[in-house]
Amino acid sequence: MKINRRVFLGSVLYVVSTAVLPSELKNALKLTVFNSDALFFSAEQLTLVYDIADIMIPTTDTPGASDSHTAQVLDALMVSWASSNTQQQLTAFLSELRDRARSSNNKDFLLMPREERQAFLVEIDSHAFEKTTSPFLVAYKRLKALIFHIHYSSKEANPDFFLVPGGYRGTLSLEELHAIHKRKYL
Amino acid sequence: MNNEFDVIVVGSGITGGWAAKEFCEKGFNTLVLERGRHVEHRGPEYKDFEAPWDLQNRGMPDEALAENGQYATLRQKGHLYKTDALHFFVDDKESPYSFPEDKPFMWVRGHQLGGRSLTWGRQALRWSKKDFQANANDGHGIPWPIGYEDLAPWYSYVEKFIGVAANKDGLETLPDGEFQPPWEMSYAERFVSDNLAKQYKDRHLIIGRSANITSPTEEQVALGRGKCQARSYCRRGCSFGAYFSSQSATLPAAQKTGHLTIVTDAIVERVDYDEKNKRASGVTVIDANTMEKRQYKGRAVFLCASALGTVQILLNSKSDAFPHGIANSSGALGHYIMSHFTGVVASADVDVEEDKFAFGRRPIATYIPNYRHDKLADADFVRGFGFQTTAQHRFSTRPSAKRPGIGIAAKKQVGQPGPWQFRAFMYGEILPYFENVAKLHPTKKDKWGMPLLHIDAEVRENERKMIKQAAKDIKEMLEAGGCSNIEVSAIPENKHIPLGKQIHEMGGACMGSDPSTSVLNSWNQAHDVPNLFVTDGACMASTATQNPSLTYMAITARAADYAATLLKENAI
Repeated sequence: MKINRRVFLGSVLYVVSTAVLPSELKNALKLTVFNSDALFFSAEQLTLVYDIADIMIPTTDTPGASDSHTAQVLDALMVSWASSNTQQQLTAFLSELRDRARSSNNKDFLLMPREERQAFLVEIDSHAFEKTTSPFLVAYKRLKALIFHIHYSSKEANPDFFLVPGGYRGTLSLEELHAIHKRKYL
Repeated sequence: MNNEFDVIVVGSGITGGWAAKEFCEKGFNTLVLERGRHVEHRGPEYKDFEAPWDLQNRGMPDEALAENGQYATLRQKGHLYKTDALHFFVDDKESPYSFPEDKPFMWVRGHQLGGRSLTWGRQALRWSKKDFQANANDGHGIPWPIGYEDLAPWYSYVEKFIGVAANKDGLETLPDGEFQPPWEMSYAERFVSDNLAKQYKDRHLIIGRSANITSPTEEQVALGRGKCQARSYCRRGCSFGAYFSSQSATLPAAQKTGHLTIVTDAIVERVDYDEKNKRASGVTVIDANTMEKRQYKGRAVFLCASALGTVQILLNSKSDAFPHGIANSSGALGHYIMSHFTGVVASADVDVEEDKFAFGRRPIATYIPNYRHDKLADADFVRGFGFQTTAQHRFSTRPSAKRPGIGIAAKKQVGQPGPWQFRAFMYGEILPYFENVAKLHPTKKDKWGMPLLHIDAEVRENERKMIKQAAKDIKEMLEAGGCSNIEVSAIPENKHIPLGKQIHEMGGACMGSDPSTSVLNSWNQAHDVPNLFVTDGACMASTATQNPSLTYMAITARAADYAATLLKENAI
């Protein structure tokens, strides 16, 4: 299935506020909450994926994963692209992430402040690239790879992409390169 | 539909298109049979106007394909296994082939109108005198019955039509041709090239010779072809018609004559042989959709079904006269299977001083032609190798999910200008070994009832020695070229090198002067069957190191011209 505009817009519409969490708490946690199930992920799972993606690739002076709608695209890909193994792998990861958070922080991951959630993921990330066969860490790497791929192949992350460059030049000063980018064609 | 034609051309790819064009333009009613589906030039299957974010599943093929064991060969190719052009490659679960378990062979195919001409690498290189003399000189394989002089005018003929953007480098080992303005080297490539020129007389880094047009001729414009826009999305099909394919050029040219008939979804099962007249009478095809068989008659048959595809058809064309496959009185049919091989990959940073950048996606790499035709003092092998190379862009630091790091700090590292990185891939010439063979599988058949092709081919001692030397050479050249952080990776001696990976499979119905040792004569005409011609990669008696498609095209145009004369004289 192609991630067409309809599917994409449909996913975006799931971004609605409150209901699950009081707005004060939501704001304090700096959490974007989805309260309708998406194409594949439940509302809670999508909230979690959105948050993980936003922590991994935050919005700075350049667009982040939330700007490129990475979580919503991943949700669509889980239906159009992912095998049942991948579906199970990622949903199991999301579930275990919350279990681990409860176990170590005595809180659901989604109820931890943003800084704690970030620190929790950084800790996982620091172990994920050691030699490991832990299904949890393997799944983490998989999710990270997908989030990076989706974001960095997005329109938002590639403002200087040219579908039709018009030609090739191999020796340009930075000023000349910027001028080409500005006029959007060689 | 009339089932009788002057000429039957089997295959619609790079050579089939040429055969069709030549015969149609000479007034012969020509049938092109394509085993795959119809693809419309500039139609919905072309994905060249899709940005990365528009590609189906962001370029990732459905995971179910791998789970079901589909596209096994293509998945090993890696960079071709993307949704931008997956539909132009064959799923080997649907069209299986066979190889010994310990010697995998990679047979990458394209079953559609246009064949692999839609996805080819477009490096259009002439062979040199030395390449055609190699078999005779060192005694390996069957001596070529033609030389460079025989093919030179046909190279020119083909180059003018297809459009080759290249520099006239003046190299004996890579003759110049009829060129359009070349693509330019990057700042870093020029730097390495200039440094190599200071150090060596025999080793040159040149810009690749690309069948992407840079200055369209009137003839090309009339066919609807335009200037290349440096998108480098060629394998998706090009709506500008800027790179040469049979879809963009030869088939439309043939179509214009009114003499062309194309039938798709027609799998040629066999070449039919008339024992009374000792001629091929036509072909039997299997309808790919209905499985029904039907026959077409022709005064001449040109097999252009790709090297191994053609060998499969020939071997399957059994009769009382040819119990082991048509035109196989020599017993050479299916033997001398060859392919270029890569045993060495290298990368390095180019230590340029000035801060320069590149723009656009050049559709061709740079190239170091073979400089080892003659056995040099340090060589313990025969033949040689070249390198396909590139440093066309200055790399920005790229995001990597494969290393630790998330959040703002990791994000800030992305997109910083990095060094120019030079990469080189060895392209070696495999010797023509009689023992490297393709046969029909004794028991296994595909869903259309065709016996599977079983390919048993491998590199041997000479190629392993070449790999060792290539690793030394490229390190030395990158140092001389002004590079640092040089990394050279050579395939270990005990690791199998799958032939076919470069998609340059050749041989199986070699040309030669002696009918007792070769299948085809100097005109690509079967020694045994005068109205049967083979002009795809199967005809090759050796591989040289250059990408072979330009040579296939020149050979096809030459053979078609010869066959046309015979047809006019009623000699076949």
